Amino acid sequence: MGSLVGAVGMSHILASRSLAEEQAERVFAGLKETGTRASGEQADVILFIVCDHMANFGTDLEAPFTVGVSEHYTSLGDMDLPRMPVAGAPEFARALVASLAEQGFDLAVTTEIRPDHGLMIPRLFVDPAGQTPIVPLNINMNMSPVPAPQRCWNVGRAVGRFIAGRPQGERVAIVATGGLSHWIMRPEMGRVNAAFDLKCLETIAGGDAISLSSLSAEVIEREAGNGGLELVTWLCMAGAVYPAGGEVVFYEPMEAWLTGLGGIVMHIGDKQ
Amino acid sequence: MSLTTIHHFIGKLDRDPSHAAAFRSDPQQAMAAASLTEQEIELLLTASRESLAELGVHPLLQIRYLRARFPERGGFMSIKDWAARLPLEVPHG
Repeated sequence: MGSLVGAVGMSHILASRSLAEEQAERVFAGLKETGTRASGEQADVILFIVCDHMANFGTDLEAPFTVGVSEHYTSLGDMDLPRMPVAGAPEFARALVASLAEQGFDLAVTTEIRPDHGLMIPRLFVDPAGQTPIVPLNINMNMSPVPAPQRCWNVGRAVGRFIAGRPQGERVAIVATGGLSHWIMRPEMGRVNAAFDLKCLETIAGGDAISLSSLSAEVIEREAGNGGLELVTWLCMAGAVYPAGGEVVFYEPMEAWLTGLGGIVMHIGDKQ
Repeated sequence: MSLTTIHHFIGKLDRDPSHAAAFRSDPQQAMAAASLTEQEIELLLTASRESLAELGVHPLLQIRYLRARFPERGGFMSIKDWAARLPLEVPHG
């Protein structure tokens, strides 16, 4: 049976340090601790649950959930990241898709993903050596209508069952990336809803992410902005490790970076 | 034409190097060649938050468009300030 070595949710941007130095340092430290506790270097595969920033998934073909099944990826190189090769885990990825299909979720597959900063920045902290193969699971929160948060939670539950039943027995780390509240190219851009962010973090840490999954996408967007819809990746991750709770590692209402940022580590067994 | 055409045009800027090069060389000509209307081209060339919103461009594609239109602006969303503290070496082989 497969086993989880770590499960975390973490924000996925870095920006100019000079805009808010003390906060920026706290964010960097928080990302580092969250990433380390994901235990990516001890894993055989890292499942990244991400929301692409329309570098890969545009408006030509919109799929709610897509799994990368490639042997190799080359990162996009946005946000001044280097373009670098990243090993994939195609057998695990295709088995994941097959399992979810059996469980009632039909996911798209692709070999064409170029991981953007939403995956690559967290990966720098989760797997600094860059040796652990990845599987990207993209949730498309840029289409209309977006996948319902409840659906994302349920996909997560199915992912958890897949990992637990995996006869190959891989050690798996799950990393959900995105959020927290931010408004992208909207009149509210620059606003951070710290109260909502903290409520979400504490609810997930308290083992009650299922209650957040009952929120509609409209409510999440109203409270956390169009960028805050990335919260569904955290719900998906929490679904995979249900009924685990966790621990909030950090939170910063980083108005200088136009977003709230946070990190949470789930308590899975006695690994954390 | 339509918002679909505009979105397709912007999306290709990241995926199609020859399209991106043509856009960098002559944005107006590249947009005309893609059958965008004069009004759409004018609003895209204006490239303000208001003009892009008027066209209904998806917020994330607005960002992608602005980065392609004004690459010299860079932007504060960058790992540059943190590069020395990150494992950024590209593996060889």
